[in-house]
Amino acid sequence: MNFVSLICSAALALAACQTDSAKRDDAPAKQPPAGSVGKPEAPVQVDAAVGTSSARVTVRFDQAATGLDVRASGADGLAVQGDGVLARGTSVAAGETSTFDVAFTPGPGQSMLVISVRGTFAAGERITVRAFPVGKPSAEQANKADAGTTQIGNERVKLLPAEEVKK
Amino acid sequence: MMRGFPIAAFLGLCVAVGACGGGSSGGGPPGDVRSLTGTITFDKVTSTTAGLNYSAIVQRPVRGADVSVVEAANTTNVLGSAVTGNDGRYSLTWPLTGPASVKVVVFARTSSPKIFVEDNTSGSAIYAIASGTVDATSTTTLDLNAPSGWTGSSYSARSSAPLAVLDAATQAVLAFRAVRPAVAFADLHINWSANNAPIGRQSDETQAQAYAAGHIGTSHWNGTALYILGKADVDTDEFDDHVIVHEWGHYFESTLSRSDNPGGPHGAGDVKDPRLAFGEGWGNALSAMVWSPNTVYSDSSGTRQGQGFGFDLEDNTSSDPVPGWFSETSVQSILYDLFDSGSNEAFDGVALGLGPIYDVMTGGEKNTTALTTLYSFIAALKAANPSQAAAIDTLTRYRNVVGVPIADAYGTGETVDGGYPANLPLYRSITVGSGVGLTLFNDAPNALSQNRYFRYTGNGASHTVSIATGSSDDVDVAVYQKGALQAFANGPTGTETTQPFTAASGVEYIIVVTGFGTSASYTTTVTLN
Repeated sequence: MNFVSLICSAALALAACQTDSAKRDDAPAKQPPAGSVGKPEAPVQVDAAVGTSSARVTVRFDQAATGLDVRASGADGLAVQGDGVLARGTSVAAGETSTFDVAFTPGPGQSMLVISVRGTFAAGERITVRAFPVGKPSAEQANKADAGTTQIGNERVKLLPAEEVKK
Repeated sequence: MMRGFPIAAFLGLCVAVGACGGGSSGGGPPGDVRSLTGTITFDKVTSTTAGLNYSAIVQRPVRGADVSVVEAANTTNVLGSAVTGNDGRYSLTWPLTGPASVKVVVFARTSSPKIFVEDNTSGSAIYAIASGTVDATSTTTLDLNAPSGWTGSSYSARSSAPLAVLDAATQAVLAFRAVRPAVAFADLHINWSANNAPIGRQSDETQAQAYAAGHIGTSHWNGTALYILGKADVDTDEFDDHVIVHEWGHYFESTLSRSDNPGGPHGAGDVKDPRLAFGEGWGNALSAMVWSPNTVYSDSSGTRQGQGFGFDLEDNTSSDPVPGWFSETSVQSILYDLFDSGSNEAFDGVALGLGPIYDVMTGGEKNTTALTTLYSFIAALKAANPSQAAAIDTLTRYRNVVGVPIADAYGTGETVDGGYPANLPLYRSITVGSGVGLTLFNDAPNALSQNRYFRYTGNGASHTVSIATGSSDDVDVAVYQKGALQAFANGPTGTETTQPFTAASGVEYIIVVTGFGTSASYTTTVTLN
């Protein structure tokens, strides 16, 4: 491990941390470690090995927790089979890892599997939400970058509707 | 009791933009111009610890935003521009010879300071809302509202979201300008998108590609810009005011102050490296200062944004199970109590407000030769406010966050050890050629027990720092001067040497040793060569 991989372990990098050694070799000579910058969350690390219709979800608990509620849901058309409840009201010890198998029907193009971990940790109730892409983006999804932009003056604008307020 | 901001604070932006009640770039006397005036508002959905409350949507003024009138048939033709006041009012004029069929465009952008809310999944296009076509020959007043787009079960166009994000950042700016009007804020780019999901960067993506895909991991500051979640039914933060200000606090640290925060996962109740504890505690505390008297941090997520959690920054006890200078919760409680009046808390006899906190963050904390921790902040605060020193000591001693009154930026004499006597002293001394043994303990690499600090004052000589670890545990080392990295060794083993660095005469350097080992406890020897 190194400073770079420590950065990678922050929530914002997640999957990118699989490339620790390559990052180490490429590290600039004067690169300071970046600050932790994410919002407060539950002290857990959520990972998933995602297939075309199922996923193995791993949750590592950095602190002991009670009243755990682990749920799977879908977005962008993905439908989780069953009620999506992976754990309810359970307790774990610090350092414990739980594994869950989730079956789903993917949405068109790229959809996402969403895992929510909620529980009472040392400092009270906290939640962490992580999502995992399933499938490849459709042509329509891939072209979303330019959708809905308009030229206003000399700049490109993502224009949204306003409603007139009648008094 | 809590501290609020006087209404005069909000006039600061008006002064800055010269546009209270609506500014205009149009010229000519009345009668020679066309004009439109009105008020711009946005739907603010109330964030609670149980999720977003769509039954409690209120309209808030869009403050300090750029607004333009454009030709309806050719939106590249900008006819006039102005800035909204703090009441959301604007006034636009343009020559009578210009088109009468127009649209009003309100940008998610302020001019003073420059804050841009952009779509990172649409090529960083700036957000704006636009009216329908208006006939200016018959209409001179036009009030606009940006709707939330909530239909009762899902979102349609989310017009108010970028303006809500802008408003939270504006609130933070106004809070500081209320007490220190001359603050010069750096430009801030905030990336919000309905596509921004808590998905990490994928193995086949560059970081730029990940951001463009909305794979932002979580709401965060990346050193140059803010990224805010917006994926409906997953995790959205645009209406979570405290979350946005927490992240804005990291922007503040990066651009006006300093943070030596090493990063990595963290949570309340952890015993962390005090650099991390201070940085995260600062973000949480600032969110309550800015939104005072609302001291409850809330974060919504889930299906229909119907779940959430939160904590009260006024709570010094239940949310802080392991109090100490290594606890982000202890830090946030102390920082908030320094700000508020504390008349409801016997241990809190300090009521400094935001001004003195700003002064220290941009002065002593930024320039400390130590690392940025609770110690550096409190030492500078006491030096700047000697009449408050005793009350500050009482506050920091509450619940034994520190074992002795903070006397300097280095935690000299500290007795609270975070569970391991080997965690103290916080800073050790080191001399050339003499190896110093350290004991580290299995935990996250950003835990207190995996980090050790040394102080060394240079004499103009060039040095390296070596570490030698008897076990197979990985240990890294880095050398800093006022937070700037001078040299490091971050290989995959516990035996390595930094690049050479020249230690200027009379200048203090801080050596940080970080363990990544998984042995229950292990030792390493540090040598300054």
